[in-house]
Amino acid sequence: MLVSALKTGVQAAKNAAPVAASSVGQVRGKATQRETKTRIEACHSVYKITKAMQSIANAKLNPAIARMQESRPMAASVRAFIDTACSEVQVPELEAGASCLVIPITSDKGLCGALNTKILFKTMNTIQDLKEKKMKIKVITVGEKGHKNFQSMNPKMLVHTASHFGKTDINFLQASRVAEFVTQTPFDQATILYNKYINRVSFTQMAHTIPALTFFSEQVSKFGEKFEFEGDEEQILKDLAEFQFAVQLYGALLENGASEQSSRLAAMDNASKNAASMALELTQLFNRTRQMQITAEMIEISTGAECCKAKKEE
Amino acid sequence: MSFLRPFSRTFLRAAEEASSATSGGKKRLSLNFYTPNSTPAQKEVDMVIVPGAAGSFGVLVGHVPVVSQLKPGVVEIHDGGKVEQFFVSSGFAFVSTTAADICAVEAAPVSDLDSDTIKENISTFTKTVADAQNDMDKATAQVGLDVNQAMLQAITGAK
Repeated sequence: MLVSALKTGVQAAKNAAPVAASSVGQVRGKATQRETKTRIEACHSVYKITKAMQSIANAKLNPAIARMQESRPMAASVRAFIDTACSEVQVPELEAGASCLVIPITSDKGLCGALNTKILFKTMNTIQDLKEKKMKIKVITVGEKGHKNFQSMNPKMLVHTASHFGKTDINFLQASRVAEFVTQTPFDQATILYNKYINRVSFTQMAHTIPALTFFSEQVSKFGEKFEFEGDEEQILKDLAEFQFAVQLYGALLENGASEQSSRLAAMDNASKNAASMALELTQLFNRTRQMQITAEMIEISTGAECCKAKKEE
Repeated sequence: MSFLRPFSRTFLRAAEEASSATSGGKKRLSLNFYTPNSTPAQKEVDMVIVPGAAGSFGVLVGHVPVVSQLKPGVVEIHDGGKVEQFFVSSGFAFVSTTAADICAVEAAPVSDLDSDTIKENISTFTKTVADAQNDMDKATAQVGLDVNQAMLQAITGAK
């Protein structure tokens, strides 16, 4: 009974051994067990970190969505006014050599899934299209990740970067400052690229094209057809152009912010699950190996005992 | 009397328009009062007084379509005998015959303004304007001074 049980044990050890050996590439001894232990602990700490980041992203997501939604009525109102006033105005086609400003909005911090990759990919496509139309392209990145990407891929196009503006939530003041900073570079057309928030699990890339700031002042007569100006028309339209740019940029920043939190939430959730399952696999491997070692020692002992017993009986 | 002209001209025009059919039969003005982070008011009202950069003007339903910048001042909402006062820092107002859209950068109920802080700010900014080394700093400080003086006026003039 004992022998047959041991035979089964040896068989099991033999079965386990190839698995263990192949996964490590060597006979599993105490050293590799220590290594496995280290790996398990590493998985646990990764799990703790990613779980914490997931909860933070979860906590930040709802306020980010709320801020995004609260900003929409004013943005819609400004846009509606401009649409009403300029309803028959065609934005003039750009001629070759016009200066185009491309503004991708990215995050400062990483570990947020495919958020930045997707928007930078769309940015490259947009730049390619503009290049084919022979436009002069300047890039102003918002966010550290975009800055790093362009510095390594396309440093000549990168004109400025706006990043790390505040640990607190983005507010309109900051967006205005960024808008002011951006508009110091004159442009015939600006394209803001950002991730538009759809729901907790998805977002999509958007590109908003904004005509040159002088476009509004040039449309004085069009505006004048439908509206009267309280005050100096040129001044009002000039200020309105800057204001609507800031409003659009603010909207884009908030949308991207909400998308960033939802993307990080999903990414950290996946990372936690992976860390947990890897820890489980490694723990099982560790335990199997430990049991195998015990079994092997038991076999040695009992084999030795059997030998001594057999010798005695002779 | 030029400072009265914008107000009286607009007021008369508004009265004229109200009596004509351009209001489309609507009796009340749709007010959409927005800031970048909130919606202080979105409802039908009787009248709203807007602190335009060229002078305050009142808006009734049927008003001629107007676009105006806002100066630091008070938006007064008149609704069935009740008056709500909000201080706005700046922004734009888009008025059509049926609606008034006020897009203010910052808005706060006048009752939330603290007169002690404002008085402190006024003295600080007055000093900064006087000590300013260049035009940019002077202009920035002047803006601060104007806004705080307008806030003080809003409190002391409040009913």
